Amino acid sequence: MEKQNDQQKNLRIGVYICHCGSNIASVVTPSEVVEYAQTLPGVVVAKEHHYMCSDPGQSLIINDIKELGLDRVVVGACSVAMHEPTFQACLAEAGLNPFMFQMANIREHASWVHSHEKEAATEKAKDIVASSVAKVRHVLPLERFKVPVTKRALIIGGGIAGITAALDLADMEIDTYLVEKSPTIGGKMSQLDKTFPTMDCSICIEAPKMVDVSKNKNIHLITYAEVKEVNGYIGNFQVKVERKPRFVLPDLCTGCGLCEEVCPVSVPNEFEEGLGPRKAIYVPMAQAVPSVYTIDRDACIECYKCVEACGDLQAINFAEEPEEINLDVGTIIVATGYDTWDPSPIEEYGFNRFENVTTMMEIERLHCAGGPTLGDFVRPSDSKLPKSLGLIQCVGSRDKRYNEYCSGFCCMYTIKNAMILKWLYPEIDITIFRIDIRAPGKTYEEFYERARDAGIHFVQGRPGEIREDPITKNLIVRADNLSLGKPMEYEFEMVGLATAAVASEGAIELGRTLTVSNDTHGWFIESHPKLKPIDTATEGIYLAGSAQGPKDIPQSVGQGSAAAGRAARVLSHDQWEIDPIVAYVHEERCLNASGGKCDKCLQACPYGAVICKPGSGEASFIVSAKCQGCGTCVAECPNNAITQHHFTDGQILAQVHALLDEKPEEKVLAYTCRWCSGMGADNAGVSHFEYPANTRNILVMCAGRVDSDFVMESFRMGAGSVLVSGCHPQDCHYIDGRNHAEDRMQKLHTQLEKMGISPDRFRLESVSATEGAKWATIMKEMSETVKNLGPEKIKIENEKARPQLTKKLKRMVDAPGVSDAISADELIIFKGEEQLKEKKLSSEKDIVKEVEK
Amino acid sequence: MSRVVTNPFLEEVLNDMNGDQVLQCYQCGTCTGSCPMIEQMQYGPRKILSMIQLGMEEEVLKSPDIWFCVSCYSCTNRCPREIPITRLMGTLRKMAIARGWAKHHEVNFGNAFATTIKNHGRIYESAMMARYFITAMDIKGLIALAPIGIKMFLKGKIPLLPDNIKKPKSMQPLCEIQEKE
Repeated sequence: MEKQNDQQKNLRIGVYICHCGSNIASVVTPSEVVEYAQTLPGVVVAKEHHYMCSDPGQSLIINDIKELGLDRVVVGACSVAMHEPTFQACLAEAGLNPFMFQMANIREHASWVHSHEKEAATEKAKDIVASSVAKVRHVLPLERFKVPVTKRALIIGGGIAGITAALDLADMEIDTYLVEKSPTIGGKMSQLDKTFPTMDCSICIEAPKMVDVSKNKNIHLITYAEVKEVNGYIGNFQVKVERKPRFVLPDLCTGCGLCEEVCPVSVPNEFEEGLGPRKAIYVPMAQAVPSVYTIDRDACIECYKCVEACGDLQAINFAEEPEEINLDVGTIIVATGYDTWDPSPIEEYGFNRFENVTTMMEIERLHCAGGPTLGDFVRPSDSKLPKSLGLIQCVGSRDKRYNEYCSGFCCMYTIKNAMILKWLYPEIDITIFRIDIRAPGKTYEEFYERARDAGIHFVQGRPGEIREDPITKNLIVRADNLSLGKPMEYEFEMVGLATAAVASEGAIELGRTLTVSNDTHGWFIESHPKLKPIDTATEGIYLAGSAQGPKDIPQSVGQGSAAAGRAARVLSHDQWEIDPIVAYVHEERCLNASGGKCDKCLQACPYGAVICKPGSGEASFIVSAKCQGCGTCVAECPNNAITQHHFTDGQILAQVHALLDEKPEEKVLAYTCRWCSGMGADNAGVSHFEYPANTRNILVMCAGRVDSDFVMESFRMGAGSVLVSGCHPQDCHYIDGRNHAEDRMQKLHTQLEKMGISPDRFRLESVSATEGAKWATIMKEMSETVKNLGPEKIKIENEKARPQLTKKLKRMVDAPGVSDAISADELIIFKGEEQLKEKKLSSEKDIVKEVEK
Repeated sequence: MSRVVTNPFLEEVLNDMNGDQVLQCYQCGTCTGSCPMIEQMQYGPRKILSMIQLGMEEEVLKSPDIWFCVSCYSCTNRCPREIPITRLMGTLRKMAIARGWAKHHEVNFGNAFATTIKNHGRIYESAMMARYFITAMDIKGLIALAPIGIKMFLKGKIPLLPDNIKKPKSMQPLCEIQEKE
C-alpha cells in the first residue's frame, strides 16, 4: 500500500552513505546500509563513498541528480551542523530545491558512540537512514522569502550609547531617528563630573558628540518623547511616538533664559539629584541639546510672566498638545540605559533619615564644577566641607533582597569619586568599605593602585549599620573589619552609598511594546549571551548600552557602535531574506474561525508573531517575517490547525514510524531540539562518549515543537522509552519554547502513568551543547530502564495503554498531512478500532436490553 | 551543577532547612557588623559561617557564640545573601546538645527557662534561678548575682509562690513544638 502511494507520487530518492575515512566505516558497515537503503520505498539509487563531503563525493550527488532525475537526497554522514549546508548547496547547484534534503547522522550518533557494538551500530545506522528517507519523502520545496527594507533606523534613548549608534548610522548615510524621553540628550554621562580611569571631564567629551547629533543632517532628534506602539517586523517597523508638549516652541526658542529669570517657582532639580533648585521653566543643564526651554506644568502656577519676558519672540505656547509622530523604520536600537537605585529600603543605612548619608551620584554632583554648589564639596546638614568621608559599596547590588547581580561599575566610580575629592581636598580622610574590588577593565586595576597610593583607605567588610550623632550629625559606621577579624566603629562626617544600577523606568513596558523580553530585573535579554550579545530574539531589534545590563562608558560606546553595525547590516540591503522554516495556520481548522475562543498560539509565541482574535470569527494568523520557527504554537494548537514548514506533523510521525518499525520495545526514542540537546548529542559523539546502541533520535527545532501526540504515538507504536530533551531554561534558543514543552510534558507524564506506562519510561531533560557526557549518561540510564523492565513487561504496559492512546490519537490522524505520512494499514487501525468499539458498545446495549426483557 | 561536599559537618548543616544556604555566604561581614552581642562572642556570625564552610565542627559547636545569640534577627534581616543566620544558630545549638558538647551555662539557663514555662505557663523567677544554679553548679554566678537578687526579693520582684496562668498545661504543646524544632 505504502509502495503504491510512492509509485503514484513517483518519488526518486538518492541515498549516499559516507565512510568518513574510517570514522564511520570502522564501526558501521556501509555496504550493508546501502543494501538496506535500496529496499526503502522511493529510493532509486543508494551509493557509498569514502568522503561524501569531498569534491568527488559532491560531484557524485550532482551527477546522479542530473542523470537519474533524483528529486530528493539523503546523505548518511555526520551532523546537521557540520555538513547540511554543504550538501544543500550541492542540491542547489544541481538545480534542486535545497530543502529536498535530509542528513542522516550515522557518525556522531552511531559509529563514534557505539564502537563496541558494531552490529548494533550498523542496525542503528540503517534505522537512521530509514528515518531520514521517511522524512524526505514528505518534504516540500521551500523558498527563502524576501521582505522589503525601509532604510531608516530608530534609536530609543539618547544616552552615550544611543548617541554613538546614531552618529555611526548617520555616517553610513542612514536616516536615523533618535527618540529621547527627557528634554535633553546626554543621559547619565552628562551628570558625571569626571570619568574613570582617565579622569576626563565627562560633559567636555560628551557635549561635542551631543552637538554633532543636533547638527547631523541624517539624524532626526525627537526629544521629550516616548515610543508608544511598535508594529511590523524586520525591515518594516511602524512606530508610534508621542511627543510630550514642552509649551515652548523649539523653532522659536533661542535659549536666552529671560523666561527662567522671571519665573517665580522653584522646585528640586532632577539633574542635580534634587540637591539644587530649578525653575518651572527650565533647561536641565547648560549643555542641553536641544537648548530649548521646557515648562514643567506640574510645578507651573500659570502666572504667565515667562510669556511677557519672551516678548516678541512668542516662543511660549500654553495651548500645546501632545503630538503623535508615526515613523516607518527598518531596524530599532534600544538604548534606554539604567537608573540609580533608591537605597531607602536598606533601613540600617539610614538614607533619607540621616541628612549626611548620600548616594554616589549626589556626591558626583556636589564636587562637579557645574553642580549646585559650583564644585564646593559640602555636606548637606551644615554646608561645610566634611573632614572625613565613608564610602560604602554594593548598596543594593550583589544583594539577594534587592538586586542579585553585580552592578559592575560601582567599584570604579567610588574610587573615582574618592580620587577627585582627595585631589581637590587632600585634608579629607576617605575610607571605602568594600566586599571585593572589581577592576577588570583596561587600566582599571592600575587606577585602584593609584587610589591606594593617594592615601584612600580600603576596609574589607560591608557595614552592618549606620547611626547618627544627633548633635554633630556625624555618622557612626559599624563594620566588621575582615583584615583584623574584629568589628569596629568608624566616625565620619559624611557617608556615600554606591547604589546599584537598575533597569530604567518603563523598560518592561517598552519590552512589551517591542516584543523583546526583559529578564527578572528588567534588563533587556540578548539573543545569545556569547554569540549574539547585540541582537534581541526579535529580528531587526538590537541593544546598546546599559539597557541590556550595567555597563561603563567604554562598553556602552562600543556596544552603540556594534548595534549600529548590526542595524546597518540589514539596512544596507533593499530586501532581507527570511528563513522559510516558519509556522502557518490552516484557517479552516482554527477554532477562532468558527467562532471559538482560543488563544493558545498567542500564549505560546515568544515573538508576538501571532495575530489572534479569540471569538472574532477570524482565524489566527502568523506573521511569517516575525516567526522564528520554533514550532511551539504548532504543538500547542488544540485542533492541529498550525503546521511548521519542514517539520510537519506528517514528517515527524513518518520518522517515528520508521524508527519504531522493528523491535520498538527495545528502543529508546529521543526528541531533541536543534540547538542545545541536538548539539549535546553531537558533542557526545565528538567526545566518543559511549552509550548503548538501542537509542534513536528525532531532531526538531525546539523542544517546544514536540507535540504530546508524538510521544503518545511513540508509545502506541510500542517504544521502550521516550525522552524529550531541550535546552536549560535560561539558554532556550527560542526564549521559552522549552518551558512550554516542560509544562506540556509534565502533564503528559501524569497521563501516561495513569495509563500504566512506568514513570521511568518517559523523561524530560535539559542538555546543553557542551554536555555530551550528560547526554551519554541519560542514554545509558534510559537504556538500562528498558533492559531492566524487559521487553515482555514493556509490551504488556504498551498493550494496556494502547486502546486509550489510540482513542486520544484519533485527533492526530485528521491533522493536515498526517494521513499521507501514516501507512494505510495504520489508518485502518485507527478507524477499525473505532468500529470495533462501536460494535462492542452496541452489543453491550443489546445484552442490557435482553436482560431488561 | 550538582553539589559535591566532602566534609560531613558541612553536609549535615546543608541538609538542615536553616543551613541549606551557608555556601551562599560571601563573607561581607554585615552580620558581625550588626550583632549586638558581638563583644561576648569568640568569633561572631561571619566567622562561624566560614568555619561551617570549612567543616570545623568542634570549634563551632563548642563555641559560646551559638549560646550568646539573643535572636534579635539583625543579621538575618540585613544579610544580603538571605541566610537565616538566627535560625541557623538554633540548629547549631541543637547539634551541640545532641553531641553532648553543650557545656556552657547558657544551656542550663535555657533548659531552666523552658522547664519553668512548661510547669507554670509563665516565668517564675525563684524556681527558674534555683533550677539554673543547681544544674549549672554556677557558684561564682550565684555569688555575683546575690546582691541584686536580694534587692529584688526585698522589693517584691521575686515572688515566693508561683503565679501560674489559668491553665499551665496549655503551654505544654507549644513547648513540645519548640523542642521538636
